[in-house]
Amino acid sequence: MRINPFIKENLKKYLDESLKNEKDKITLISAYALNNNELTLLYQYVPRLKNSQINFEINKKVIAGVIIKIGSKVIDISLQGQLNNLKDHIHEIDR
Amino acid sequence: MDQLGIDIRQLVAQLINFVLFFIIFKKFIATPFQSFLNEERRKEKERQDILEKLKKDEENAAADKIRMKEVAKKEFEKVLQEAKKEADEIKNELIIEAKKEADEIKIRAKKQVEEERDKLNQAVKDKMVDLSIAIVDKAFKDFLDGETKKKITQHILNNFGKKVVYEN
Repeated sequence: MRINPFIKENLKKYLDESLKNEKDKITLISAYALNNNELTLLYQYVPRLKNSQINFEINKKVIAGVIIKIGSKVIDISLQGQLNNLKDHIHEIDR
Repeated sequence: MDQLGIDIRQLVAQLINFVLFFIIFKKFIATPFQSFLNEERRKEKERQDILEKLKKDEENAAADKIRMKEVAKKEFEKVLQEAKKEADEIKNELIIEAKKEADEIKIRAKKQVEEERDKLNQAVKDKMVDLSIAIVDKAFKDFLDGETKKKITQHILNNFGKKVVYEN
C-alpha cells in the first residue's frame, strides 16, 4: 500500500514532536506535596528539573521519598521502590 | 504131546497167527503210531523252544525297557537340570534387570521429589518474602504519620547524591 508522501511527512513530524515532548516530560510522584526545601535538594542533584516543566503527582502508595520520571527514564528513590528493591534482592540471593 | 494136550497144528497155526498179527501190527499200527509220537515230540520240543525263545525275548524286552527307562530318566533329569539351570539364569537376569530398573525408578523418583521439594521450598520462601514485604509495606502505610514520612523523605533526599540510585 502506498502512503501519500504529504501525509507521511506530516505523520513523521507529528511523531517526532510527540517523542520530543515525551522525552522532555518530567513527572514527580510523591506521597505528599513536596516543600521548597525538598525541591531545592532535588534540583541540586538533578539540575535538569530546574528548567523544565514538572507534573507533580500525589500517590500515597509511594509512602515516602519520590519517583522522578524523565521521558522513559525512571529514578525511583521512594520507600516503596526501596522495599521493592529489597524484595528483588532477597529473591536473587535466595536462588 | 497129545497127552500133554498140545495140538501141534494148532500151535503152528497160532504161531503163524501171531507172526501175521505182529507183522500187521508193526506195519500198520506200531510204526505210524511211533511216527505220530515222534512228530508230537518234535512239535512239543519246537513249542518248548519257541516258548523259551519268547520268554527270553520277553526278558530281553523287559531288560531293554528298564534300560531304556533308566536312560530316559537320566536324559530327563539331565534336561531338567539344564532347564532348571537356564531358568535360574533367566530368573537371575530378570531379577538383576528388575532391580536395576527399580533403582533407576527410585533414583528418578528421589530426584523428582527433591526437585518438587526445592520448588516448594522456593515457592514458600518467595511467598514468605512477598508476605514480609507486604506486611512491612502495610505497616509503613498504616503507621507512618505525615511528619515521619517527611523526615524519611528528607533523609532519602539528603542521601540521594551519596547512594546508587535504581534507574530503569
